[in-house]
Amino acid sequence: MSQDSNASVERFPDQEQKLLDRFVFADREKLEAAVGMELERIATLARSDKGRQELLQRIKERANDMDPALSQEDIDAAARLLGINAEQLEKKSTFFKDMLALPGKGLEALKTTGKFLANNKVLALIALAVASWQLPKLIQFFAAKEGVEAGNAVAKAGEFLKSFVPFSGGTTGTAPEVAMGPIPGAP
Amino acid sequence: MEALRLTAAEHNLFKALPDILQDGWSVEVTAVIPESDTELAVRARMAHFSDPSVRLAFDALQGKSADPVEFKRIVSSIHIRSWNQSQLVELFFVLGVRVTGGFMEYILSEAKTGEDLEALSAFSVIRDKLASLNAPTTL
Repeated sequence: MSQDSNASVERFPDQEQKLLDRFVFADREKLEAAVGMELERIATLARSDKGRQELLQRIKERANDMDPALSQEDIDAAARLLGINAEQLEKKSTFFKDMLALPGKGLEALKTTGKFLANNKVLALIALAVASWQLPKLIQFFAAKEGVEAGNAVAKAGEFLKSFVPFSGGTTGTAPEVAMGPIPGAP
Repeated sequence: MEALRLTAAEHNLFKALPDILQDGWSVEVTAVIPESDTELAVRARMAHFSDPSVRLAFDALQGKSADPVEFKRIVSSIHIRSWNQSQLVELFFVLGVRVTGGFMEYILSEAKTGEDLEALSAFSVIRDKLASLNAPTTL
């Protein structure tokens, strides 16, 4: 499998990738520490033009502490990303509460989809590939295995689902590092 | 009769299923608002997976285990039954409305049993909850 076979396809521009890596925080505490403001306040400000200006001003004040190499354009983009980050953290919290509420349709749906994915490992693998932005690599890996039933199934399902994936051409080499919890037994 | 909430395109696929699979289900046609590409990119960077088999799979997919034999071993080590439910919630939040809908279309195109329709219904519940986050009045 060629590691650079997706290099020419469309993806986020490199500078935007860098900003995403630098100005998206995995949890509330890290975001609030970076901006010096509560998450709810950030999300509220991000929803209006006036608020975004205030958020932008805050980011400008702290920008040099965050990254002295930022251009004015980068600072504007960073303020926008931090607003989206805050909104998505709020939405994630809402989604978790809604899905895991007892008793609830969400929990039942999780049990059923978990069972379905366990019985259809090809789809589970594709879901993980999409989440790690590596679907094209997975398709290529298995498509190359002609005559292998599981490989054909992955390639077929992967090709079908590719059209639903943002930037489906892939982000080889620039995939986000997914935060992981500690691995039991790991050194 | 249980209701499936499907988009118009999904409804067309549903209508093409054999009658025996359609029996027992009604359809509510719905429109869903997807996330933007930037929102999904932000979600991917917020993701937190604690299951060791998920971490190994991510590493393998990101090319840190390029050996095909090792890759195959890692893939076979993914034990979804052992995942706790919060791992699945995390996964669906990262996948978003469009990909979850993609799985629904795939199930509709391949459905052969009643269990497939049960799974479709479950995916639609999750897709609805994801879509509700994208409604302008949510927050």
